[in-house]
Amino acid sequence: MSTEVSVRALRDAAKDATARGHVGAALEALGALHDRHPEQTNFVARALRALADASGFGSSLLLHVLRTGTFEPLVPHVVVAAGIHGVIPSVTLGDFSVVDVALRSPDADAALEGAAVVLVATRLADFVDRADPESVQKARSRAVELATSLRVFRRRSTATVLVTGVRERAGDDDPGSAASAFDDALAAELATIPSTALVDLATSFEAARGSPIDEARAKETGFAYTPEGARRFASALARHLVPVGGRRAKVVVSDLDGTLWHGVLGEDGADGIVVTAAHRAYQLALREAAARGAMLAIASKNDASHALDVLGTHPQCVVRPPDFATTRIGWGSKATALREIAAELHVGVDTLLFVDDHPLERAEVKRALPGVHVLSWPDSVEGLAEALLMHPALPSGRTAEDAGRADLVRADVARSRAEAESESPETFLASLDLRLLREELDASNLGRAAQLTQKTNQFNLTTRRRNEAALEAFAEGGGLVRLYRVVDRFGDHGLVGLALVTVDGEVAELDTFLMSCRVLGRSAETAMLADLVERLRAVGVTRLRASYVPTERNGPCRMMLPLHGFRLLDEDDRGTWYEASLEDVPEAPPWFAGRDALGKSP
Amino acid sequence: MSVEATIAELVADALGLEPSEVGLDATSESLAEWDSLRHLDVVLAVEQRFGIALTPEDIARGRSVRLLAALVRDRGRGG
Repeated sequence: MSTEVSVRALRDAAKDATARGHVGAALEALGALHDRHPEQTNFVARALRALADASGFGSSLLLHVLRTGTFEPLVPHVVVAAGIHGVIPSVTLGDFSVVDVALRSPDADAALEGAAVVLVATRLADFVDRADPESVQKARSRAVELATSLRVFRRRSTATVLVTGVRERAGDDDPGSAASAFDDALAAELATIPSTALVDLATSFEAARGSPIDEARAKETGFAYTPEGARRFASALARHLVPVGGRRAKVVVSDLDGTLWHGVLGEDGADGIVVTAAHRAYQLALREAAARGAMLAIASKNDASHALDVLGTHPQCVVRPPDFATTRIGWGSKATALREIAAELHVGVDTLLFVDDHPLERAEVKRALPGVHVLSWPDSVEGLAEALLMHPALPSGRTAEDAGRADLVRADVARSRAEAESESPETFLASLDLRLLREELDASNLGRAAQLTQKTNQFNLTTRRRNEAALEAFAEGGGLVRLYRVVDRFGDHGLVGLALVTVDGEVAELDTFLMSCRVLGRSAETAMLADLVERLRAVGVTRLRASYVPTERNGPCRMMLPLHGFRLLDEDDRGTWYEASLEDVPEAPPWFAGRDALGKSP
Repeated sequence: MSVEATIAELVADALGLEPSEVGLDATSESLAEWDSLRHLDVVLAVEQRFGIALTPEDIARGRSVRLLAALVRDRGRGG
């Protein structure tokens, strides 16, 4: 029986690869099981955990579920939906129907207090009867009541909170329905509570093959879902868990032949290239991904000038060469192309989302670069646009800065050209007309500030990750938060620096100091530190303590503190501690045009 | 592989056991791990593998490998 042979072979391949520490090969086999043999979910969930234990693959996430139904059978589906993308949840469940009490009372649920992410999983039927004439009112009141419990919880916890939307089917979209009333009222409340989100189940269920919900099953067993429903529930949840777990894609790398267009350029010639409706939808999806903050790149085996010419002139293409931050079009391997793209764009290889119609190319990349997100090819190219836009690692584009990213990349290209043409590094820096601008933390930049702590890896002294709620809590607890924006004559780099400081009389401690790699090489860190010191001096601080905690990625800032007047205090296996008298910290470099340039953002 | 053998392996996966630990005569009485919550994991996997939908009565009755196999055959797709 071919199904059995395939399942046997994939299970053995996964076990074998895990035993040998071949993460890429193990993920390839587990991914194939997940895509082609959905009944293997229990096996895949255990295998992913075993792979994580054996090889350190993936990051773990403590997820606690407050629920009013039978949630247990969803757990392996959730583990796989997020785990296959590198975020492996450790799931704990609260007692049946203990939701508000747990949220409001710190002693009710110990596992809740320790969670990084909390999911509130309820269905409309749990608190309202659709047939009840008062159902809309009751649904709205329930949303407000739940939001109140969440506000109480938020006062003592910075955990990200996700709440399942109760819209499950087409009829629920009717604005007069109780489901709409609940979801809309709750969404409005959640917009004012940091680090919360509504999980959109309806969109995921819409794509289900057959019905996702079985009401008879829900009544008899407390468990409402069909196998398809369980799978769709988990993938809707994964779209939140994967970014929270740190596995975001910053770049979508697309193939050309068979992916961006129909036809093989090298064989069919430019006249043989057709952008079918499905391919056009995919091209539009790439533009949507860019609007959400992802960069675009191309990796293709083709003649570069021919391919770029077709991309630039084919009448049916809706993406053009300027839409792509870079391309690797040639005859080398895709894995090499991806490595080079990541290096050129100054991002980690594990922030690439690779889209390619050829199964052998996808397999090669999965094996060679296990951290790359490889898009599972849908059943037919008709499903490609949706597969891309629904991928859990794609940014949701919530901050205004995400949307302006394409402009930033273009400005970078102009800067690189100016640098290549200038006489010396010093003349180049002086010609940039650099300014450092300071911003106070507020509702408009809170999202970007939190994002900086989560995404900045290279120039980050202590790599302490904080979500919006935690950052707000730091400021409210009396900590000093300094946000820095860098602008030059080519454009605004946006918010690129963050410092978090706690002050205790004359001594201050630098909890966090980070800078986006976008502004490396300008000594912007010197200018930021000089500004920070001036502020600390004004409140009577004379000494500043700081530490460097080494990680795999933050080598670039290892020497920052010694180079800025700090002397060594202590060193152990966690990191290195330093201290500086404020007068020993150097002033801002001359190309940050004097004191006048340090000012408040307009 | 027979329907029974396929189901036995799915039961093993749901219960966290090795396939060799679940025989064709396994029941929810004979295996301590096979409780009512794990039973739902088994049901979902069997439904998914054989493309069938089990009713609440089926779920209540089908508490052994052989009973589940009989339900699968009854619904037509049978392996």
